[in-house]
Amino acid sequence: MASGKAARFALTGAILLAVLFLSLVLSLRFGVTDFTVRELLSLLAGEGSGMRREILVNLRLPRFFAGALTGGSLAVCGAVMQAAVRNPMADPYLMGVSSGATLGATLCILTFGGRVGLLGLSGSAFAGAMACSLLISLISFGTRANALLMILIGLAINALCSSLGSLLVYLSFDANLLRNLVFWLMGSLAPATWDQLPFLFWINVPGLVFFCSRSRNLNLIMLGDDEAGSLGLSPGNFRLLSLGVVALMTASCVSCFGMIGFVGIIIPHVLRFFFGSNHIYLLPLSFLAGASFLVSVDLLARSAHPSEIPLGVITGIIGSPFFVWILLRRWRTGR
Amino acid sequence: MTNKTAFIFIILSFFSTFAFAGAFSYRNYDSSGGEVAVVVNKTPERVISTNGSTTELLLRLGLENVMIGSSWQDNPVAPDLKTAYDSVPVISDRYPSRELALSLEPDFIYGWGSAFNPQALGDVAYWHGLGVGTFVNRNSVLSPQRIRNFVLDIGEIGKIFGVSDRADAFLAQADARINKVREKVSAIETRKSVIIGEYLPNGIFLAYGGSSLADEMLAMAGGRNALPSGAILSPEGLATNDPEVIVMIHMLKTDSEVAAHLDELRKHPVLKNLKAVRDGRVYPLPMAEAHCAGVRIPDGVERLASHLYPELF
Repeated sequence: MASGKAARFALTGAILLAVLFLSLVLSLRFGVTDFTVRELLSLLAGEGSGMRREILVNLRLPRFFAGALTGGSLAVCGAVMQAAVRNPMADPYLMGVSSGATLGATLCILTFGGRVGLLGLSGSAFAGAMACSLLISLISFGTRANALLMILIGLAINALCSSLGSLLVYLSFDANLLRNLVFWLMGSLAPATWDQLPFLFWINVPGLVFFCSRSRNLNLIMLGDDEAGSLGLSPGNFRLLSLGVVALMTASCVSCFGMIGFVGIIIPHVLRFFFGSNHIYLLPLSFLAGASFLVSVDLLARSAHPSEIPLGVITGIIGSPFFVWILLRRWRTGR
Repeated sequence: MTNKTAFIFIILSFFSTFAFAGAFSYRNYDSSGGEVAVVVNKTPERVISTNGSTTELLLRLGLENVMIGSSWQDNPVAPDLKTAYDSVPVISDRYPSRELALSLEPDFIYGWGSAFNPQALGDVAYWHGLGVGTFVNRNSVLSPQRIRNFVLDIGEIGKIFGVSDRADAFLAQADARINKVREKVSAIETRKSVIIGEYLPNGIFLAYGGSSLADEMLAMAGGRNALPSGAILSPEGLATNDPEVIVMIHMLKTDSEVAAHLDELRKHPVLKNLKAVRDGRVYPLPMAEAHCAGVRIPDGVERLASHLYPELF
């Protein structure tokens, strides 16, 4: 039985890798201008110069890696958060962690001006994200809230952060800050360059490795605190550590590309349907599926209009009905 | 002229020509208003303009032949520039993406600071790294916005494109038009109190303050900004200030759209009782003539003056 599941995992992993490779080829080939496969290969081999090479090598290629890393990380963050708070509807975007990060970044820009570096911005975003994570943990575990109540608490925190952010921008009369806030609220991979990749890589890849190496702990914590404790895990500490790492990864993505919602809820749900909740399988597959999903959506976003449609808008359009479907399904099944 | 001085003259002429045909450097800005040094190696031949005011400045200087694209026109282009405007492709109705701009292989991009935000064209330094010159409209990034900034802009654009004579001629003409307005309104003893800005839905009014270009233009037209600090006014705030004249800056395309926009304020249950509404002193002003305006500054000043003092114009 276990070996059958492992074989299915290996096959799905291979298929998702192939899909990711296909999305790489498509995202490099198509956009406002198209490349033939022959031109693609010759430009990647270092031949040619000029703006077409610039588009391919210094825009589309880093954008693919940034999209894959962000999509994969957000999907894994969603899966981890759902386990850590034992709620299949938890997600950094829905629970206000991303809004907290945006509020932190807005405060940072308002205090230090537009010239604050990526690290300063991300640090502030992390502080905001972490504050929201702690608040959610305190409220939900202090009150033993059920899954739906927790989502409502998360939405309230989300609304609070959004309102505080809007208040800051409103009071500042700063058009540039307003533009920045609008950018964060809608999310886009347009700013992606090679410059952000080391930063994204060194925060998200260790985070992903950490969670994959703690898959068993995530499985245990889903059994309940008493059961996890009896099996040698300190659930409170592990939950706090997990939410901290999720906040850090989410903040790094938000400070680079704004709020991109629903990836963390769509991807783990679809995969759980096929593979159950064993995180040994769920996390690597979530990463691959999340990466392919976001890269594909980004291709749509930048091909559909000369000014590009914000990525977060498209994930929102796809994700919202999906979320409603999950809620209705849970309500009907009484879970 | 001796042989020696003739020789020196020829050498100096050679080097001065070389310098003229060679690199041209100037100080400009990034999207946050930070100063940057820009070097343009030759007169630009493939230019993208990202905003209505920057497009009209280039067209006014007769540079449509070097333009390969324009975008984001707030209001319809000035009627006398329509033919030239139509000869340049509109590449996007908002800011073009970086990828779209790159695919057109520009050698110069001229626009507002916001065009160089990360989600649009990206930072100016990125373009400089590719050998593409940039020029950011000063009034789009500096505060306070001032006509002086436009004078510097057009002077430098004139030098970059080798059309300083056209820039100077435009400035002389603009100066004469504005001075004529100022002379006419100079005798006015009590200046009209004006609230100028954007009318937002549901009776909210974004009043432009003293740091706006519209404020300086209003002063030249003989008006007095009733809210020099600027404000976002609720209907109550607008009613409390109750100015003699309200000027509504808009980004609309047709006369019927403008009329409908004015009616929103005129028919508002509270605002319809304002003095300016009762006296029929609510006027439209195109964004192109007020915010980050360039070559339309004289048009804006004349329009404002004629609204404020129709008996003089």
